[in-house]
Amino acid sequence: MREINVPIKDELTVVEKLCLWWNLGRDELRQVQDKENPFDAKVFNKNHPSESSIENPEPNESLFDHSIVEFAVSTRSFRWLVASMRRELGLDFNCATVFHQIRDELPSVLRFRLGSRALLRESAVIFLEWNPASFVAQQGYEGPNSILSALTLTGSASQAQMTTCCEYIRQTWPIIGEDVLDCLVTAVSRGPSATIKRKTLLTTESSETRSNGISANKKATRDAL
Amino acid sequence: MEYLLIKRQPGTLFDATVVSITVTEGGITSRCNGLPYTIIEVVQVLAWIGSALRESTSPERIGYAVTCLQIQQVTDDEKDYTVQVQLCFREEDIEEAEYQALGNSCWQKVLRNPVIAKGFPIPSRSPTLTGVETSLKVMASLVDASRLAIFDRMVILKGFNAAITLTDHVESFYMWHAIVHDDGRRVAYSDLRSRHEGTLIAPQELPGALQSRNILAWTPKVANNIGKGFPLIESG
Repeated sequence: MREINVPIKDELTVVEKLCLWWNLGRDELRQVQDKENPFDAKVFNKNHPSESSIENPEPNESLFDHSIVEFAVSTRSFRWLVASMRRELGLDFNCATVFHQIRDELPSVLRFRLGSRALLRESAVIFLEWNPASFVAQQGYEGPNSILSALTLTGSASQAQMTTCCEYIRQTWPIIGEDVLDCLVTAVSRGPSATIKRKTLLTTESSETRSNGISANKKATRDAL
Repeated sequence: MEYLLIKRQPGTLFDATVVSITVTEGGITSRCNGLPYTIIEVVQVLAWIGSALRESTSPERIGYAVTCLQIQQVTDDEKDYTVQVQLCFREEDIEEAEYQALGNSCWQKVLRNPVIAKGFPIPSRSPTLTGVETSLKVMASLVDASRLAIFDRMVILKGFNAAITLTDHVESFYMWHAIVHDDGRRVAYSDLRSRHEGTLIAPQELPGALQSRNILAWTPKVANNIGKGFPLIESG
């Protein structure tokens, strides 16, 4: 395979990176076409620039249609890719055992079926042994929205990160995290009215959590934040 | 059972994955319909929430919250196939060796009995840089400080009975140390025992420092000064 001089510099713009990626990929495609169908290869070469321009990955109107770049950059998939790469580069996953366990074990039961154009949708039910009402009451929070600014510790005793719940989620799951958290907070905040309406067993649960008392220190922290 | 249902709040994610969350008496039930990769991330988010947002059962000791994962298939029918994921949590004491290594860690005094969500990623840093990485804003809130002060060449966040001082600058990190009077006594500026010799940071460098990463950590250099009477104040 022919080598292309790739400029190694961090300050490549997204457009430059895409051009580079486009050129490298097309070069491979052309080699395959040359072998499989010489006629198509000639047509392909007619409509595309010369070798010299391929070696120069600078953005260029004839080489690369900017509307394609703009389309690619604006897609959610591209944003997901960039966010995932940024996360992989910035975070330390060496001690992320639970994170890896979920990523490694779930695919064994989730089906990754490919439809005509993309992966097919799957279903999962997740049970979480965590009582948000109890947590909110223990911490002396005024309401479920305080979950967003609750201080959290992650990592180990020797190396940890202390940040708000919302910030950690934004940092670690940049695409879907906040949506899931919003969904959770809304569900929790709508709880009491539904409890009153239905007069469910949760009325008892609420009175129990109130009796757990309020941690003044943590309440002060929350107020300061 | 239906009467346990409080409310279901559906949410649609970027790739049209639908997540609904139900608060029940026993916890949270989330139903997820979408792409497998997104479902995996939703499970990770909920696992972290469950382990990070809880209070330690031990009144004066740091503990870990560890996620236990149980996965099963409900049906094996091609048309009706659901995966069930059970996320439970158990509290673990930190290992004795780790506890000894921490010593009388300053951040433990500030937080008392925190629970650390174990098994999730944190921002990368050198293994030698131990401590809690956090923001200046969070540190200020911990000691209830309303402003950053410079006193006798020290950079200080001071509340009533607690203060945090800048102690070192390592790589791109600013290292801070917390002082807490457990008995509630006021911390005086003259009692800030963690100061180093010489100027730690020039005032003109402060704006840059505020943008940097910060670690709240025990600094061994202060150990010798603890318990000694009137410390470290130079005239002028």
